[in-house]
Amino acid sequence: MSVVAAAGLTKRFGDVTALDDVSFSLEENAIYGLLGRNGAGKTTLMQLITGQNTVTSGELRLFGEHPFENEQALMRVVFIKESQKYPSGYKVKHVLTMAGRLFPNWDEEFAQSLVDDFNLPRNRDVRKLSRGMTSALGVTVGLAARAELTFFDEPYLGLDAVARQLFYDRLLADYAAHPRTVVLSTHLIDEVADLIEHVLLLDKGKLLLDAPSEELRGEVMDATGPAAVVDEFAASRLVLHREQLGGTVRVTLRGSFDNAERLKAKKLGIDLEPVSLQQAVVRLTMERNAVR
Amino acid sequence: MNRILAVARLHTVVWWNQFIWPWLILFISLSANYLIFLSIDEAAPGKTSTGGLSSIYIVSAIAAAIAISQIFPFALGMGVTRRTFYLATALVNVTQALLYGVLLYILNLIEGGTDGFGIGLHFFRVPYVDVSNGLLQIAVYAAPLLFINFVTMFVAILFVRFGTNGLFATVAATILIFGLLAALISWQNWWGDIWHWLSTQHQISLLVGWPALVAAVAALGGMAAIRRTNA
Repeated sequence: MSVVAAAGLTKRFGDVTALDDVSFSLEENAIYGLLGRNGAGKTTLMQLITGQNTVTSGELRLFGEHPFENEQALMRVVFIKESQKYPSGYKVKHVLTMAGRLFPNWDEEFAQSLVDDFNLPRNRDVRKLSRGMTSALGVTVGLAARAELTFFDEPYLGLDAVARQLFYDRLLADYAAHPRTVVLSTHLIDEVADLIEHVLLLDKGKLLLDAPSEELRGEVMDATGPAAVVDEFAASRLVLHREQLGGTVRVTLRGSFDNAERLKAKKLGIDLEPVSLQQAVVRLTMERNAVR
Repeated sequence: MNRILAVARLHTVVWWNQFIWPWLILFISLSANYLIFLSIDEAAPGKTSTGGLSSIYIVSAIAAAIAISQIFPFALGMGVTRRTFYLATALVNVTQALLYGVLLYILNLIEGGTDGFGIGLHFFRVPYVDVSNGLLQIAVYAAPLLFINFVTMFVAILFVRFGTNGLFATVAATILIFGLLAALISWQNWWGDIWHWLSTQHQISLLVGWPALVAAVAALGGMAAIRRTNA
């Protein structure tokens, strides 16, 4: 059974369509990258799955059930978001105490080790934490909750590079020991590219891409070489982007590239190399907008 | 039920805010009243009543507003359902009202036993609010707490759900309805009948019955309103 199954999922706020006929599924024990520009609908999608908001139309199942107001299903999910508000008077230790009571798989020892890793002051008022420390607290709760389905929505605003690396390391190590379904929503695509096993790309409320990241990496390539040969090579493929400098052209192509194709490119003097996940996402998003 | 108790802890985990502040403020109010009435020792008997007790009701209302405006969004973020959050909050409210009722009754007895803290002060034994029966006295203290907490929560839910405009629209609608009602009553010359009805109401009805009834209506209204509220 899928952890999450969505079919024709649509969410409107007044006359704004935040999600438009989105269908996908999230499977057990995988790390997903939920990518897209600001306003693409990422947060809305996570809010619907976690019962924070209601669906306008379409089908949505969380562990096979409707998520809205579903205690049993929601207890198996943790949703860490950048915009999380904390009550006044709550200190770091209070947030951890409550998380420990509310998440059934909470690992207190792991939580305490993360608090030490991130140098979080246990007795400080949460509302007085810096942006980065607030994010570190969210990350701590999200990891130690060990929920079967874990959402991180831009979890590291204000976190420095070292702390982010710490987060990736702890996430991977804990994921290896306690496999679960993790959804990372972020703009720092290159940083998480190695973590992500599957990419969901949203643009203007539409699901643009739903593919294993390995597959995507082999499908989107940069071809660089003399203009005439590159254009001929590109003719049978989807050109996402083209830039020319003198007689040299670089095109970003989408299609399948088997060994014969790669050999052919090499013989023609075309330099064929995979683009980064970030570049692939940028090109795919821009291409779609250009078509419109 | 276990889940409800766990969620109820959201309100009590910062016990200083939830429990100490209301009583600290009450005792400061008591101390101030004590000093004032100590200095005017020639005060006529029966004139040493004060309204200082109301502070605990005001602080309690503020806590109820915070429960909805701040703790509710946090609870939702932690995967708590609206229904469980509301039931847990209602449980805390009712428990707290009863506990405060008992504590206020104990203080009422102390005030009686010490002849008004030695200076004839009526802080807890306020006229009309002072009834002879112990259990009734607890209810007299507790019912207004339930009333003020559930009504505050209901208004706070409307605010979280509909924003500033929703809140003001509610206030405007309330004023309009009661204004029209008052106009109708004046026009029909019903005021006399209303005062007569109030004066024939039993003391306990006015102190316990009606506040508890309104509290129950507000509690049900809050439950209905929060089910579709997104923080």
